[in-house]
Amino acid sequence: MDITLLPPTHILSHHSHLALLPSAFPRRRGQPSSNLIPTPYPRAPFTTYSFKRRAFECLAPLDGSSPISTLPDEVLLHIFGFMESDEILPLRAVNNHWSSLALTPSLHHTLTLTSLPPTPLPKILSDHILPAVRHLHLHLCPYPSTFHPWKRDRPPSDLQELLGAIPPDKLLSFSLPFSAPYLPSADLVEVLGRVGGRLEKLDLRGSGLAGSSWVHTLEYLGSRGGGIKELDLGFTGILALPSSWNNLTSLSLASCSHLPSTVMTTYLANLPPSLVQLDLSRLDQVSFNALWDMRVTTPEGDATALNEVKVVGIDHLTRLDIRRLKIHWASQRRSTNPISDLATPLVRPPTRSTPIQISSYRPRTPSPRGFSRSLGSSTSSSAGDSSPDLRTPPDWSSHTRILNSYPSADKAFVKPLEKTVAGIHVLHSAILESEDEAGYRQFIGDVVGATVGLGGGTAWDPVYGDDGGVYVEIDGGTL
Amino acid sequence: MSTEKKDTVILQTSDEEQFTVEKKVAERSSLIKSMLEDLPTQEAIIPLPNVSSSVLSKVLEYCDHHKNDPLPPPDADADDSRRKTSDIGEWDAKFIQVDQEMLFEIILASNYLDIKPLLDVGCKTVANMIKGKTPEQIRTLFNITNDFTAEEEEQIRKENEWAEDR
Repeated sequence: MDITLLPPTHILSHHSHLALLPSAFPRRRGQPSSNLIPTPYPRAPFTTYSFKRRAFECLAPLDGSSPISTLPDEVLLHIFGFMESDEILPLRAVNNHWSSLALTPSLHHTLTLTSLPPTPLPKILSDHILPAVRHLHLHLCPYPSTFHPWKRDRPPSDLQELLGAIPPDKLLSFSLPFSAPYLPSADLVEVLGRVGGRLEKLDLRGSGLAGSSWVHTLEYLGSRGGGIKELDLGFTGILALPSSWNNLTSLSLASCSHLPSTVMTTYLANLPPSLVQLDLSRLDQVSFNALWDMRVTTPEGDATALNEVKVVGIDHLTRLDIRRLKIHWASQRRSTNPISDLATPLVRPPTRSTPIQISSYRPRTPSPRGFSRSLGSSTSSSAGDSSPDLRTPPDWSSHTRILNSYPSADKAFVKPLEKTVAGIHVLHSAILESEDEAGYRQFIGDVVGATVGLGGGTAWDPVYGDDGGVYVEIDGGTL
Repeated sequence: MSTEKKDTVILQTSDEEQFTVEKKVAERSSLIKSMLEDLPTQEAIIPLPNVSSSVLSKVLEYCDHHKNDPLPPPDADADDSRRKTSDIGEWDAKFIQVDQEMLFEIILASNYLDIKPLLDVGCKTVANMIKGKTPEQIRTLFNITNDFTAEEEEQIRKENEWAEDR
C-alpha cells in the first residue's frame, strides 16, 4: 500500500504530534476557534465540549401545574448528571430546592478548568466542588504566567491557591499538560506528593519535571489506591524512571530527549508486565538492542500484556529492523508456550466430519471469500479438499495473520489463539527498508511506485513474502 | 425454568386496566422481571398501582421496540463519561416528543419499573431542555416558582459569577 494514498488524518492520528495541534485544545462554547489568542483575564474558567443541538422543547402545562416538581430528588440528580459542571451551577438560581441539589458532590466528580478562578477562591469552589472532584483537568490556556511575568520563579499565587485547595489523596485522575512555563518542577512535585495518593491517571505532558529527584515522589503516587495506571511524561526533561510502577497499563515517554539510553535499556528490559501501551516516539536514544531485549514475557513464561509499542520518529530504525523485532518478540512469546500447548485449543479434533477447520491450516493465505466460508459454516461438511491438508504442517505466521485480518471470525475458534500468540502492534515511521544498498533501492522503488502493491517480497523476508504489498508504515503489527 | 412459563404476562394499571404483554417485552422492566422470578405461578396478574394505563401503553411501546436490545450492564452507573453523553437514538427522540405531563410521567414510571434505558432517554431529554437556558427561562419552562428573597438571589448570583460564561 502506498502511504501517500492514505488521507492525512489517517496518518496523523497515529502520531502523538496530534495532541499539539490547535484542534486538540479544548474548545469553548459559543466562541470561534480563535480562542487560542490570549483573551483578557479573567474569563470563565469552564470548558464545554458539547455541541449544542436544537433540543426538543415542550411547553409548560397551561394549567400552571409543574410536573417536574413531582420528580423525586434521585431522578432530578440523574437529569443533572447528564450536564457539565458549568451547566449545573447556574441551576442554583432557579429555586431553593435546586440550589441545594446542584451542589450534590456526585455531580461534580469531573472538573475541567481552562483558566484560573479568581482569588480569593470562590467559596462554592473551595467548599463544595473541589472536595468532590475526582478527575481534575487543568488545561490552562493561555498560561497563567502570561499575567505574572515578574514572578516567573514562583508559580502564580492564584494557581498556588487552587492547587492548595485540592484535598489530599482524593483525586483519581489529574492532568496538567504543558505546565512547564508556569509551574516549576519543585512545586509540581510538592503538589503531586500531597494530592496523588490515589491517582490512577496522570497527564504531565510538557510539565516542568526534570532531572531525577522527582522519582521518589512519583513512587508515592497511587500507593494508597490501586496504583497508577496511565502515565504521560512526554515532552519533559526527566533523566530517570522509577521502577515501582507495577500496575501501569499505559506509559508515554514521547520526546523525553534527555533520558539516557542506559536508563531506557534497563527500563525496557524490566517493563511492568501489566503495561499495554508504550509510547517511545522520537526517543532516538533507544537503541535497536534495547528494543530487542525488551521484556515481552513474564518470569512465569506468559506473554506480558504489552500490545502496542510506538516508535514513531526513531530515525535509526528501518523497516527491516521493525520486522525483525516483531518476529523476535513473537518468537519469544511463542517459545515460552510449547507448540503442543498452542495446538490443542485451536484444532478441534481433525475428524472427517469437520474438514472445514483443517482447511484453515493451509500455509498460504486463502482468498477472503473461501476463508470466511470455511469458518462461517463449520457444520456443513463440504469435504472437498480435506485429506491432503491434514498432513500439512501448520504455518503459524500465516495463520495468525489470517485470524487478525478476520476479527469477526468464529469466536470460539479464534479466542485461544489470540491469547497464546498475542502480537505486539508497532507504530513506526520507518521509511527505509534497511540501511544497506538494497534497502535504498527498495525505498527508491517504492517511491516511484515500481513495487508498490505488487507484494514484491524480498529474499530475507519470510513473513511478508507473498501476500501482497504489506509494507504499510502503520500496520496492524500482526505476528 | 423460563420455558415452562407462559409467554405472556398480565399487567394491571392504577386505573384497573389490564394489559396482556409478551413476557420478553415486559421483562425490559427489571422490576417486573424480578417479580416474575419470584412468582412461579402461571396466571399471575402483576399490579402496577403507580402507573396509569395511558403511560403504561406508552412505556410498553418503548419496550416493544427495544425488546431485542441487549440488557444494559448493571454497574453502568459507575461510568462517568457515559453519563455525559446526551445523544438520543432517532427512534427514541421521536418517541419522547410528548407533552410535559406525559414526559415526566414516563420518567416516573420508568424509574418505578426500573427500565434504565428509558429513564436515561427521558432524563437526557429534560437535560437537553434545561441546557443553555437562564434560570428565569427554566422557571417559565417548568412552571417553577421562584422562592428566593431578593438578597438570596443576589447572593447566589455573586457566588456564581466566577463560573459564568460571558
